[in-house]
Amino acid sequence: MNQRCKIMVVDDQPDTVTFLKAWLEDQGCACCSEQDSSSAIATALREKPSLILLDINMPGMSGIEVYRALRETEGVRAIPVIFITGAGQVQLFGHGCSLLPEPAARIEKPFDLAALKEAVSEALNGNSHGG
Amino acid sequence: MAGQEPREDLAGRLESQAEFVGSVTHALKGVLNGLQGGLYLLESGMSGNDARRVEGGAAMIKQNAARARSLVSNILYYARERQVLRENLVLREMVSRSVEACRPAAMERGIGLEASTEDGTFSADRAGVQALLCNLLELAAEQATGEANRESRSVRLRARMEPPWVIFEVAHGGTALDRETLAGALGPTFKPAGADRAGLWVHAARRVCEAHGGFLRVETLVPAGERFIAGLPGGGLQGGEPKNLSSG
Repeated sequence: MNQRCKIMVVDDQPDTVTFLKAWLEDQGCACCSEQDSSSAIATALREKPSLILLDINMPGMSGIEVYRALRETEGVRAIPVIFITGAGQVQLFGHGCSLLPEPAARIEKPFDLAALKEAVSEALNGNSHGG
Repeated sequence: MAGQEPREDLAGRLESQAEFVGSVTHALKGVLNGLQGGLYLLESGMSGNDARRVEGGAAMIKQNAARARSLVSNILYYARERQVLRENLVLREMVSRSVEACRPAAMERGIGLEASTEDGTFSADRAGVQALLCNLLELAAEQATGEANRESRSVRLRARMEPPWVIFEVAHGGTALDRETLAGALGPTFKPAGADRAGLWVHAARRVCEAHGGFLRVETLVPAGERFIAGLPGGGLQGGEPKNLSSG
């Protein structure tokens, strides 16, 4: 995995954030996190991560809303995003019901760490195939 | 036809149960995720001789084991039509037992539990009251977790006799539950909302109150936090809320 990357974790569950931060650091990545979804865009603009791991099912602003805002915000719209979710299928619609671009990958909780590692590597190398 | 449930009622009940199963599954995934995270921290901490990581992992495992216990208890409350077995209960003893049962998990989260109670006795189901209080205390502790200042990281339980009611108030200074979660938990049928299992906890607490002929309300506090107010009719009189309680 790219040793100089910075990965941002957005999840309202403290356990998930702690776990993913520890795991990503063990993979040699720098890490930042945001538990309040409504602050995710501001944090992404400030931290400029190479990749965002984004929980979908969050109170307040959902992960899909965060994703939509990311794709519409100058400065962070090109950052690859991996959805992390306990839910199954998610619908990706933007304003006016136009389809948003697919995320780099979708990883279900509880995590398959081998699959997560592969998805993170591919997203960082720009080889993602969409979720 | 006599004895048959109207089709609309049956459909509504099935829909509610399907949503309940979905919510429980989601909550279970959260517990499994927490256990997986705790084990990862524990194992990687042990192999790297990182005592802090080992400690963090063990705490995460304990918290999620406690969540699994609460989840099972709430599933049983939801799934079974449980008869209310009334007996005379000592208010101070019920408060003390519930607080002590919840204190270890709260302490691991860095949350302080405070309790104050009047003296008195009331008639209610012992297991139901303990489940009600533990649900509200655990939920409040969870909502207060991660708050920066010390005052926000405390949960307060106040119990008082207000004949014919026994009133329990559980307040915290953390993040209040969002409207969608509360509407789903306090509506006529359970509708899960949001990511966590908070709605299920509130719903189970409400079922205990209503099984006793009581009520559960939630008030948002300013500048932060919320207060759960549970009322149980302890003096044998039922129906209607005490007039001097502000509406939530």
